[in-house]
Amino acid sequence: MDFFRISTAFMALISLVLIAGLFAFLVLQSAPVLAGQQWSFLLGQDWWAGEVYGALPMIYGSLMVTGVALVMVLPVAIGGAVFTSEFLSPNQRLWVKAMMELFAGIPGIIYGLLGVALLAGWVKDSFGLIDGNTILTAGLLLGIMILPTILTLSEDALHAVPGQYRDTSLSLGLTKLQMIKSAVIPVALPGIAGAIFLGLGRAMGETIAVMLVIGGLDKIAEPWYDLFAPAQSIASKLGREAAEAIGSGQQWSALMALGLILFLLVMILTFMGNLLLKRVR
Amino acid sequence: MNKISPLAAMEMQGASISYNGKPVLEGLDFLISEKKVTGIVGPSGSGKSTLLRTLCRMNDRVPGFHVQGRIRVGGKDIYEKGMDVYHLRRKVGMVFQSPCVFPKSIFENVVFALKRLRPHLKNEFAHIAEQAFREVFLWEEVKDRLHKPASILSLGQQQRLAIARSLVIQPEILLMDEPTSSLDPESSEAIEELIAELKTRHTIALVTHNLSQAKRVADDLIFLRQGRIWESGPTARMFENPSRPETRDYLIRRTDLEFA
Repeated sequence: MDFFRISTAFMALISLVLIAGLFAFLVLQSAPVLAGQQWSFLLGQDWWAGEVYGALPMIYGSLMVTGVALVMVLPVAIGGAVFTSEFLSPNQRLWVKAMMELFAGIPGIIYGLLGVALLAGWVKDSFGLIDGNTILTAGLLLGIMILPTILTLSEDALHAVPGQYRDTSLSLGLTKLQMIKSAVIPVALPGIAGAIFLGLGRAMGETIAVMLVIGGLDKIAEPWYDLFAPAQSIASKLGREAAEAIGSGQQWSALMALGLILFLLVMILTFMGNLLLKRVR
Repeated sequence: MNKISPLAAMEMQGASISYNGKPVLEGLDFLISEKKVTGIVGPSGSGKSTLLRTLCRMNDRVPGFHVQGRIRVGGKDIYEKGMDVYHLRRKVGMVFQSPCVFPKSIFENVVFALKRLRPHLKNEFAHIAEQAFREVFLWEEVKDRLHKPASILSLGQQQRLAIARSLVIQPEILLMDEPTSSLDPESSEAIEELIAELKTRHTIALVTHNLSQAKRVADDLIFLRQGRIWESGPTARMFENPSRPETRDYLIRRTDLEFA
């Protein structure tokens, strides 16, 4: 093997080892709590530092805010992507893409500040709440945050649909709208799904913006679908407590276990995405 | 053309085609007769595909594309204001160079346009699909796997599927843009036989770079060279007794090369 192949193989190996190492580290560090509490860690609803650690409210919080973000972002992102890809002139399209990529690069803290300053107040006033820091606020903010990513990546997928599918549809006498609905979108679907899962991965891991507007209460809302209740996501919990808990035995171990769950949730998201992609193909 | 046919399915009169102001084809005058195969031949870049695509307005979405003069299909000027381009394309079907099947089942592919254009015929889809498959001699090969992905078919089968997909909306005219250029000889032969069969019911315009194919299947020939129609007429005469030396050069020498 030549030098180039060996060196690139080595780099690939480094990436693999790093990820495997990270995973092993998470497992090892969370072992004390997982071994001590077993299922009650996953299913417990109380988290008292030094006594008992229950992860369910945080798992619930992460799933809820990501779910709200998904519902909010989907129509806007897909609609915007279709419009950009199919109806704008090449110049206008590039302009939109540039703007979206710019927005996608804005750090989470900026979105968080805007969330605190504008969104939380708006949610509070619009729905007559005492406090504007809710699941809905965090979900909306996440939706806004991942919109540019999902829009521009879905647009890439739509734009990459080979011209022959368009030509074939039009040559059969279909209107442009019929062509988009029955040829372009179905062919682009794997890419669109990929874009959505990538965006959801980012949403689930987003820490600082969520921390600022979610309310920070380790509790499952009653009823569970009450979007106006405060909550806590895994990432926001880690962001709040990691600094104070470092090296403190059980609490640190519990936070590492939460990190492990987040890691696995994102992996499941990716896996489901791939499964979906295969089925569509 | 030497023979003036009263049954012109398509015709151009003093037509020219340009991109961004640069002429691609000029001085186009020809008739394409009903229920015949008209071959369009010429060197690469002579505008064969452009000419074909113009006949069903497939270049409409190409920026800078412009057409002048009269281009008629069934006696109607297709570039006139108010022309229903979707209706035109249902009358004038097109088959492309590389077979294009949608990532759907074989059955879904063949009823693709029907589903969108004639949903009220839903109960007859199965029947119409079978007829179309039989028409392109594909039925025996697909009848047991209609609901498998179309991508499992060979390229030759995919091209026949593409033709069937056009046929289900009953076009009067079929435009074929080098339909066999990505196929193996055996599949090409099957398509050629199919074309001969199809011309009993359809008018066909066939772009091909394969001159022996043109000789075998085309009734009339249009020879494009240097942005214009260099010569046109019945295929037999074009090959045996062309009136211009360049035609002889291209048709006869190239055909010899293909057989060599």
